[in-house]
Amino acid sequence: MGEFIAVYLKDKECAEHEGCRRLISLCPVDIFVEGEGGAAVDEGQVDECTLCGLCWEALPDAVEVRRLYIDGAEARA
Amino acid sequence: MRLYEHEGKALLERAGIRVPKGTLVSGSAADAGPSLGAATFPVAVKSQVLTGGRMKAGGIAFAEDADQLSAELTRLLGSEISGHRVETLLVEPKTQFDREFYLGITYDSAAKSAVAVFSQAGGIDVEQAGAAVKAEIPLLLPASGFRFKELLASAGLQGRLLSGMTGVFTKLAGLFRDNDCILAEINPLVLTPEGKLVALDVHVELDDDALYRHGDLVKRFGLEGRDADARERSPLERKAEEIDSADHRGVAGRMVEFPGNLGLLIGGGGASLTAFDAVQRHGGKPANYCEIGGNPSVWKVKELTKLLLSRKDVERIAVIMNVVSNTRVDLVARGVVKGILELGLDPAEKIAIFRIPGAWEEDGFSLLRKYGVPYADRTVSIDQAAKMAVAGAGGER
Amino acid sequence: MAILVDKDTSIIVQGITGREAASFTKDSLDYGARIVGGVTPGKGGQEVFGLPVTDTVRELTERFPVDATIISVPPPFVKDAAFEAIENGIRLLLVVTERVPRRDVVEIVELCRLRGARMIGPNSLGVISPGKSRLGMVGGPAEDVRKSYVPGNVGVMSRSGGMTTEIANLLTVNGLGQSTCVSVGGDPIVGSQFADLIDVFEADAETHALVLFTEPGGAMESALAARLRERPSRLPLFIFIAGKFVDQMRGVRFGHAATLVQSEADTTEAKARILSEAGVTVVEELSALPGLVKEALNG
Repeated sequence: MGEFIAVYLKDKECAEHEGCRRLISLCPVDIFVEGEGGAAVDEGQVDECTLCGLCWEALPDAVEVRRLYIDGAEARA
Repeated sequence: MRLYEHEGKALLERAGIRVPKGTLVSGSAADAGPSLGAATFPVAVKSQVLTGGRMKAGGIAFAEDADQLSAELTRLLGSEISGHRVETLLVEPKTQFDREFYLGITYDSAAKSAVAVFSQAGGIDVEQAGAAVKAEIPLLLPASGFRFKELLASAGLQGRLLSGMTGVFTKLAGLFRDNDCILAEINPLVLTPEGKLVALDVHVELDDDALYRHGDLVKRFGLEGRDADARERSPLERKAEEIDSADHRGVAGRMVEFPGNLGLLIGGGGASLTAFDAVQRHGGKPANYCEIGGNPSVWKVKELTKLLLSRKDVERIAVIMNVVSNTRVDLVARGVVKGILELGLDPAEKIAIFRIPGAWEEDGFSLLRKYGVPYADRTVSIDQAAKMAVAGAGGER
Repeated sequence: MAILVDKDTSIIVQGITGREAASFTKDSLDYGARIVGGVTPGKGGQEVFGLPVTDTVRELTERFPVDATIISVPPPFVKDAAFEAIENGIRLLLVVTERVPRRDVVEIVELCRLRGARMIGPNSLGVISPGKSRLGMVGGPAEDVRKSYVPGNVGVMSRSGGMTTEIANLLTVNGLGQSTCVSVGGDPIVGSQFADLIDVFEADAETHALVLFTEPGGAMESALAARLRERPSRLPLFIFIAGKFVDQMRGVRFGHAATLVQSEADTTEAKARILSEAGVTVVEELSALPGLVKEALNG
C-alpha cells in the first residue's frame, strides 16, 4: 500500500498465474514486477500510479486499484 | 554555448581567415617553458575565459622578452578574471596594425533573420562607438559575396580593403552557417602595415539546440558537459539538477537559490516568473526560483520538495502553477505531500498554499483536503495565491 | 468568422503517430477541430482515430483541401516537415516542437516569406478560437479547454503556452470570453510575433480588445512598439510582463529559452516603458486585468 494508492493482486487469479506477467510490461509506471509464479506489486512504486486503467482493463478480475485519499474508493468506479 | 577564443580562432583558420599563430599554455608557468622556446617577442598573453571585457579586467597582457613572459604566465595562470578561473593562456605574437574593424554575424530576432554588422571603429569600445551598418543575410540562398561588398561599400570602404574585407566577411558568414553559430564576431579585425587582414579576437557562440549535428566540434573542443551559461551552481542547485535528470518524466529542477524563507515549487515557464514576482510584490522572500512542468513523476516532485525543505531557513513552501493541461494536479499534490510526510512533517503546516488548477484537479483537491493542506482553485489568480502564501492566510482546506 | 482557425479550417498533423501528437489529435477532434489526416513517414496506410495516415503531405493535399498543419516531429525533422507542408501549398503552420535549431527556424521563415505562408511557433502550444476550433494542444483535453476558454471578444497572445490558458481562464472566471488565443512560442525566434499578428486581430470584427503576456528577453516588444508608433491600433491593448526579478539577474536563463536578460533592452522595465509610450496599458497585477479590460470595453 502506498500513501495515496493501493494496488492489490488477487492471489488466486493473479499472483499465481502466468498470464499476470503481462501487467509488468503493460504498466507505464512500473508498478508490477516479477513475482513467484506471476506478477507482484512493487509497493515503493504504487504512488506513481496515474490511474490510467490499463491494468484493470486487461485483467478486470485480478487487479484492484484504490484511491486512499477518497475513502479507499476503487479507482475504476 | 560560448567557445573559448582559441577554439574560435581554430574555426576562423579552418574557414581561411588569418589569425596570429598562437600557442596554448596551461598548468604552471614552468610547464609552459619548452613550448614557448621559439616565441617571437613581443607577445600577447591572453586568458582563455568565457567572458567579454578581458582587456579591461586585466586578463590580457603583453611581454617584451622571456622574463616578462614568465612573470605574466605566473601572474595569470590560476588567477580569476571577472569571476572566471584562468586555466589556459593563449600566447601569440603581438600584431602591429594601422586600423581596427568590427565584423559580426548574428540573428536579429525581430527581423527573424541572420544579420551582418560592420563597423570601421573596431576595438574594445565598439558598443559605444556606434556608426555600425547592418544587413540581413538570407540563409536559404547560397552565400554570396555581393551582400557583404554592398554593406562594406555603404560603410565607405574602397579599393583593395573593400575586396579583402568582402572575402573575410563572406568566409565568416560561411563559418556562421556551417557551424550553426548564433554569434560569430571578430573584434578587432586589424589591417597590418603590410596590408593583411588579421583576426585578433573572436567571439563564437554555438546554438545549443544544433550541437547534435556537430559531433566533430563537440569532440574536438570537449563541449559535452560545458555549462550553457557560466553561472556557478550552488550545491543545492546541483542536487536539483541531479533530481531532474535522474528521471526523464517532466521537468522539476532548474533551481536558482535566493536568500528567503518561502520555498517555491512553481511552473511552467511563464507562470513561474509571474508567481515569483507576485511573492516579492506582496512582501514575501522567496528561497528559490524553480520550474516544474511537463507532467513530472511523483518521485521527482517529492525529492524536490525534500531538497527545498532541507534548507534550514525554509519555513514553508508555496506550490503555484498556471491552469495546467498536461501536468496533473493530483500527481504534483502527491509528490509534495509525500515529500513532507517522509521528512516527518505536517503538510498542513508546511504548505503555505497549493494553487494548481486544471487536469485532474478534483483528485488533487480531494487529496489535499485529506491532509488539511490549504489550496486554491481556478477562481483564485496566481497573484492572489502568492498573497495568501505570504500572509499565511491559506485557502480552502 | 474567427481568425487563423475556424470551424471549417481543414487541418493535418505531421508526426500524428507520436505519443504527444496522438494525444492532442484525439483531444482536438473531441473539441471539434476538423483534422482530416496525418503524416508519419513509414507508417502510411495506418489509421489513427479513423483518420488516414500517409507517408507524404502530398497524399493528403491531393485528397483534401488542407488549410493548416500541426508539426509535432523531433527537432532534426522540423525543417523538412515545414518545407514539405509549404511546398504542398499549406499556408498556416503550427510548430509545436521545442529546441529547433535557430538556423532551421530562420530558413522556414524565409521560405514562408517566399511562398506567402505563416508559421506560428516553434515551441507553441497552439491557437484556439473558443467554441470553434483549435490548432495544437493549448488547453489540453476538450473538457479542460471548455473550463478555461469560452467564446467572446478578447484576443490573447502569449509567449508562454501555459499562461495562454491561465489568462483565458482569468478572463473566463470574470465573465470575459475570448475571440482567439495564440501561444506564439517561447523560443528566441518565432515565426509570428506580436507585431505580425496584431494586424490579424485588428482585422477581426469579433476582437474588441487584446491582451498580451510577455517575459524578459527578445525583441518582440520593441517591434510591437515600433509598429504601434507608426500605426496606432484600433484595439485597446493590455500587456502583463512577468519576470521583474530577472532584470537583476543578467545572463541567467529562466523558464523559456528566450527568457534571458543580456542588455538593458531585455529588461521588463525597458519593455514596460516602450510599450506604455506606444499606448499599451501595462498591467501591474494579473488579477487587475479583467477589470481593466471590462472598463475599456464598456467605456
